[in-house]
Amino acid sequence: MNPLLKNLLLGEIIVLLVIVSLIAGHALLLSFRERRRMVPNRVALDALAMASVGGADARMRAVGLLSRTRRSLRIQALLDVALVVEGRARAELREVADELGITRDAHRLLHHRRWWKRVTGARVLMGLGEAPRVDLLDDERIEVQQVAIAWISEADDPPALDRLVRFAGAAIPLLRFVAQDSLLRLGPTAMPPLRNRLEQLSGIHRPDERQTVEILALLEVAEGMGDPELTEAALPFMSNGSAQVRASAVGVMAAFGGRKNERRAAGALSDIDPLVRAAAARALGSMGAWKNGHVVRDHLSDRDPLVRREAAIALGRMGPVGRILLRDAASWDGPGASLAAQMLEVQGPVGQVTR
Amino acid sequence: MTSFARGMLVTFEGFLLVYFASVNLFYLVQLLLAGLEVREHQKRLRLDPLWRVLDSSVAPRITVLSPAHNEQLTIISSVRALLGLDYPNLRVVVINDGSGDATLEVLLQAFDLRVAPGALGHIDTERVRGVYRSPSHPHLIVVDKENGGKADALNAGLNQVRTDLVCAIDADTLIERDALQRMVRPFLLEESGVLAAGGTIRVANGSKIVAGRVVEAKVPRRWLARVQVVEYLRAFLFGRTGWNRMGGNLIVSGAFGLFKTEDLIAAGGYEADTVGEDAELVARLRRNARLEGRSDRVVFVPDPVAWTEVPSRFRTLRRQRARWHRGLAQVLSRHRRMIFNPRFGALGLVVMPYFLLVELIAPVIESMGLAALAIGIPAGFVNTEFAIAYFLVAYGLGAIVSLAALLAEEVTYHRYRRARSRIRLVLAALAENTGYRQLTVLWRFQGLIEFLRRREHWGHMERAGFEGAASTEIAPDQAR
Repeated sequence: MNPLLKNLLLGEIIVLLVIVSLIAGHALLLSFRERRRMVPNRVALDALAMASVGGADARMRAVGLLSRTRRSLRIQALLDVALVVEGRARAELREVADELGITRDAHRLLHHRRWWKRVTGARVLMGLGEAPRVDLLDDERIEVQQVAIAWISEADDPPALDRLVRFAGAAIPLLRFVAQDSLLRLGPTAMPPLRNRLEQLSGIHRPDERQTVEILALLEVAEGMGDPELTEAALPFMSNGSAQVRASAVGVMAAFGGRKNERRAAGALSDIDPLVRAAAARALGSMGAWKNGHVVRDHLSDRDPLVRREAAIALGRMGPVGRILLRDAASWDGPGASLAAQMLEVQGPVGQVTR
Repeated sequence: MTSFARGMLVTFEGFLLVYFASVNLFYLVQLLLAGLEVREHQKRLRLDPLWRVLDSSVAPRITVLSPAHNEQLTIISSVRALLGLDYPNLRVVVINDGSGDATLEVLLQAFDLRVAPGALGHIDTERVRGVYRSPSHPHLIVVDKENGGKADALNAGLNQVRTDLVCAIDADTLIERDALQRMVRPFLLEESGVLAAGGTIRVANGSKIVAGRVVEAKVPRRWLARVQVVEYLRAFLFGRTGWNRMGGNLIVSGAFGLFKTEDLIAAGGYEADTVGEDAELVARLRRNARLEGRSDRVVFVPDPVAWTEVPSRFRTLRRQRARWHRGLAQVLSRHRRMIFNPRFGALGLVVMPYFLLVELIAPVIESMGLAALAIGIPAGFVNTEFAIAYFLVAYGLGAIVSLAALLAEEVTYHRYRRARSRIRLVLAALAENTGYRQLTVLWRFQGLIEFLRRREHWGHMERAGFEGAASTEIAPDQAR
């Protein structure tokens, strides 16, 4: 055989054997590791859980046990327990972490050149209830910024919360999402900075793309909170130049409800843009605003199909009055009649539709 | 033999060797890049817990579109599994595409469906006979329409969508509970925007399935299905992952893909007159984005998993592979202006040329090589050394790439936990290149001929349900 071919064949056989050996080796290593790790991992978790509720003795026992385990395992166990404890228990955990040098190491990791090390440092310190590091919000990596945003939401620090609210307008969707989610989890604490930012933005009648993104994100949070303070802050956006913003503002009105907001939503039914009219119909439906039922019924013959559809669904959610109005509309001519008939069918004999 | 003919033969032999050496070299580069990509992805995942997406009311809203045609045996468990996915803002739209069996009736009964206000109507489709909602399952919508094929059914479903993202699946696809949480990540991570994301499709044959979920991955007993496990692992873990770093993917599997709704609607939805509607859609979305100066990123995400049953009979597999290849030929033909066109960046200069010169043409060249050997060796035109070199380059390196894909599976997701499963897969990877690969070459060649003869139909679909044992034909997808 040609020596070149012989070498090629030999080379291929060697590579194949190496890959097969790697597969077998990895499989063996994996099962060995799993067996080896399972017990210490459980022991570490148990020790930390006990330390978080058990006082000095339990703490000393946890330190003794954990100091004999690998560093990565210690950190993982600490993060797992920190996720589910608060207050005094978290303080106990922190003492264990201090004694094991984990806190010191985590602080050092925040300045590490590798982004995943910085993320680990931030997560450990956040888990231990340390004061948030606002400077991490300016990190070059999204992954680190993401943890920093979540960390800020753990603290009651007004300047930091102002920064958090600003992230609702971040260009990167992940940061925007984490900021929105953090604001919702914060609840009432997030209200003042959120209201302030909405008030600042309410002066912009024709927002650019970036501003629109921020306004929509904040209005979505406001809708999720459903607080009267935020409803008032969202009110100016009902006359904003952007139809998307107006539609979103109507949603905020619906989230809190009440007669005043019903009237506002009913007013939005005469908006020039179908997106807003559809949002208004949806809002009236979700508020069960049966007193405005006849206005909604009139929109069963709206020129836009989306509005007609939302009006039918809204009437379906308005109880007996909505049902009467649907029956009335079912006898009309035109597309509104079939929509009304379909809604009556969805509701069944006496039921009420959910969305 | 004349010296001219001999010279031609030697030239052809040389061309074959260079062609297959280049293709395999390309695969090795792709393998390397896939390794880097998976490593980075795994690191991100370890540090980024998914719980935030899991229970957030502001998570991107997703609608799952599940077209169903004659699925009465499996539709209820499929829909229940979809409604039980771990994702906070989820809607499910099931489209009954003119089923001749009792698909609609079983749905109506199981979910207490009632007629509801109809479509919003962005895209033209076959006539929609009714839209149904369920008072007990408010996130479920069922669209009943006249038969128009999978693409038409997806378009009818798309007309009902009001969410930010839309996930297209096959009705017989089993999606893992956390798959959507994982799949949504690229849409959150990229500022310039991602057009679409695809997840991994794995072979469900032989695995333990309970209530529409794969609870234990096992290697199928039937050899034909087993060899497809290797094929799918190679295509997804190494092929598509590698493309993430080489100009983006051209194919998002029709069995499991996530898209931005507004892009999909702006593009006019799926093309109903092609059998490769998933690849065609991605090519069109990417072309539109490029022409409008937007990002045309199409990402493959390795960790969200959907399971599908692959054909375990030769006849069904032959039809499927021929159809896939016909679909690929249609896509490349429709979008031929993008090939080698610098205006489309990496898509025009790397991705499309690869699919033309390697995916589409390879069966022709490989068939010619096989024919040359079959005729040449007995006739004494081809020397033995060439024959050995051909097999070593074309198939030996192929076996290395398949085994490398198994290694990637082992060090990353290691779903096949039993030693017996691993051994079976290694044997299948080694055996794949002798017999099975040559058959797929012929089937793909047949697909190319069907394309040239303008054959358009999908062929007969056989379904028996996951808990059943018979063969199932899955949606178009280039598993390479």
